[in-house]
Amino acid sequence: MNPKILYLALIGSVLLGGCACAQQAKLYNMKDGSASMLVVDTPGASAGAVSGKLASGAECHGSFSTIDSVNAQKLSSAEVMFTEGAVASVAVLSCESGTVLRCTMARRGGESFSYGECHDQGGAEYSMVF
Amino acid sequence: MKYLIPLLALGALSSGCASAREGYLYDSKAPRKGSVVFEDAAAKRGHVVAVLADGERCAGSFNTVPAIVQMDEETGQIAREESQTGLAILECAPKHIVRCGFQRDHAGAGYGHCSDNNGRNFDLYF
Repeated sequence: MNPKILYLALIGSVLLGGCACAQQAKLYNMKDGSASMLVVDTPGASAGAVSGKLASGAECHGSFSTIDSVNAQKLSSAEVMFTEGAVASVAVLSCESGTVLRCTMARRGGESFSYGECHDQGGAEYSMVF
Repeated sequence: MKYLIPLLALGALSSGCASAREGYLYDSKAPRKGSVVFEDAAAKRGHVVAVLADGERCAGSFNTVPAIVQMDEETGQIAREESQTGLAILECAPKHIVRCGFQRDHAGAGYGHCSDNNGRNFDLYF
């Protein structure tokens, strides 16, 4: 095959297939206003790895998977809404400091995440917009 | 060169026009209000700015997911989003965060509820 055609085909497939890039958001602590970071490795997938870094510098690692939006709403505050038209996910991250984050996140089907929130075992609430 | 103006006009038409949507943030405990502007009301996500009732300025971003939808019966995909729910997070003064959950129609008009990390609540209309 002509190398030029092969090269163009590769570029085209990347452009049409979308990017499997990681997606990140600032994670705001709704108690003290501090900002942390959350990174989703494969935001278009139904499950995958997540990582983060708390304002204290503690690193966090975990995973996410897809759940029913009704169940996601039960785990979330009223301001962070989950609908039947959206895809809901739950993530659990374990941090070096001993903090465990339980997160719910919403997105359009086949797209990357839109927004979400997390809670830790100390009762602190975190919110994020991707 | 003679095609430049038609090309520019075509580009402007195809890219669409980002229309801002203004609204209000009503303080839940006091008879006063601030303002809010969604910079591109038709977009699924974008920037939002606000001025609280006490004059504090905030800026942040919003993102949405579909709420009420029309489905394409053949493909099973969403054909039209009649309404959306969304979340906006605004950074105001240092360590002062306002979070707003909202619902809006396809034209970008909506309402919601906001809270901040100082325990204040706001009603949002836009």
